[in-house]
Amino acid sequence: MDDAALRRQYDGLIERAGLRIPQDRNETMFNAYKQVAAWTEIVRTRRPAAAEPANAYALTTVDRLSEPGTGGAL
Amino acid sequence: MNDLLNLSIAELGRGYRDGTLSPVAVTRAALDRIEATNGRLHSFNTVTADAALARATAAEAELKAGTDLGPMHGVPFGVKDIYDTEGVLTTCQSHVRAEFVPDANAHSVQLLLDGGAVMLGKCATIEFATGGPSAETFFPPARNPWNPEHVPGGSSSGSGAAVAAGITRMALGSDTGGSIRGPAALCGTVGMKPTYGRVSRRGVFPLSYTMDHCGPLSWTVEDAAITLNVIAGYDPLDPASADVPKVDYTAGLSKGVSGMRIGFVESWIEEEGNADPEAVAALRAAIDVLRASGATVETAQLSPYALYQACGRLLVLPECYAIHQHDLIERPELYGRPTRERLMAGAFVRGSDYVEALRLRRELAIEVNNVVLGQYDALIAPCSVVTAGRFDGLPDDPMKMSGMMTQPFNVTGSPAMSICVGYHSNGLPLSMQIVGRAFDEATVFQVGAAYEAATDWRERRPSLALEAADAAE
Repeated sequence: MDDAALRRQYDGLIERAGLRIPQDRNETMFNAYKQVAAWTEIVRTRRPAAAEPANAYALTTVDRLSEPGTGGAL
Repeated sequence: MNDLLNLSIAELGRGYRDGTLSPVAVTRAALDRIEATNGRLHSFNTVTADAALARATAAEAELKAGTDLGPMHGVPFGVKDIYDTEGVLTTCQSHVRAEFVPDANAHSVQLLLDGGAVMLGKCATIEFATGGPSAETFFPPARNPWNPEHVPGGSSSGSGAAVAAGITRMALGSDTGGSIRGPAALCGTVGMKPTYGRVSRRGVFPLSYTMDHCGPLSWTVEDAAITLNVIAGYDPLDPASADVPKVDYTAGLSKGVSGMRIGFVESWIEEEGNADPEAVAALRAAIDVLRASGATVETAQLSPYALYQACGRLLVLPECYAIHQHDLIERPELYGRPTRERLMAGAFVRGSDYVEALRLRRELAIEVNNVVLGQYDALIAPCSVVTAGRFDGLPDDPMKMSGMMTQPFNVTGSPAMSICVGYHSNGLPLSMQIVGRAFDEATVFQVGAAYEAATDWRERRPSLALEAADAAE
């Protein structure tokens, strides 16, 4: 993807997030965006649908924070 | 440096129990060392001198009366300023938290206090444990005791500086991409990141829920093992805490490495590209020491470092952004620039890419924990392949990680330790990383202790620490 297309993506993301980037830091942050974009290309691999994330939701783990008397956060 | 502060935790314990050493005297010496060095080092943000002396006085009386709370009883320690400490300012180095005083202790701090340890105060950190040192933060950044013109590494910067400067034998740190092992490497201390889930994260300000690890920085491997004996364990109130039995981590320290099979993650050095030749030579020499001590060391094949790095970054960035987004939008001026920009980059990660990184993480965790460590007892990997950079040469790029090769083992959750393997011709410390199977911290300690016993790097201290010791005599 060329820089102009990446720039449009970056500008859109900053606006959507509601972040304020000082003018003199905009180029640096755009370069950070390009770095993040490069990392995303590395992890985007076609995997079987059954290939689960590492942090699969486990209700037993969540539950233990809300048991009566535990003082849990939930 | 022949003073009270050069005694190991075990030596202090023996002296306390046979009456030749006093917790009060040791604590006073530590407080004096803070007083003598903090103007140059800034390793402590907040010093709790009165409370420390009161606790040390109580410890002395308890031990005399035969009440023994364990190996940390009467031993001073420091705490990274992202750990909650009851009644003590906990700023995360940030103007965002300039007035935050917790009403409870982080779980691991409480375990140490329950074990009679003496908290000296709060150690400097990189703001919210991410970004880089900045003059804009609430407290000034810690400096490297080997050369205060250089950074101490981060984010547990004050913990590393305080241990290397001989203020304390141990300080708590946290590690999301290398924040224990990095400052340990650059300050020449031991830095132990236990297995994910081994030490509770409860009460420690989060950077990344799935990548944060808590553990000690210490002067020796034994000091770290003694500390882990106290702070490791299941905490049902930390959702990631693992209900896995722990062992006595000091039990295998003298067993050596004879007969062990160790894998060397050699390929990452070339992949990094900017490795300092002296750092690489020291790492290879350390491997020779392990071989001479009876271990078999072979090249281990892991996926490219870039894959681990991409995975780790895409996990940390959106998680920390979710924590900080309201403040980043509403009052960004309260953050120092390096931290603000690193956190803001979390807005760049799509939800689907976060999930892809989590799916990759499962693959990488299996690669290290099951496949590679199915063949080896432990791994040796580069830790920092450069020495500490100068404050006047800090990178402008908020994504820059300057030669640290630590993040892969946050991705996999593996226990990993940084240990000093000598000194560069510029006088700064060099390092290697020892990695073990999940929940097998004992083997990591065993390898580290064998290496430490075969070398004399622990005999050297920063000149700044030596000057402070001389001034105290």
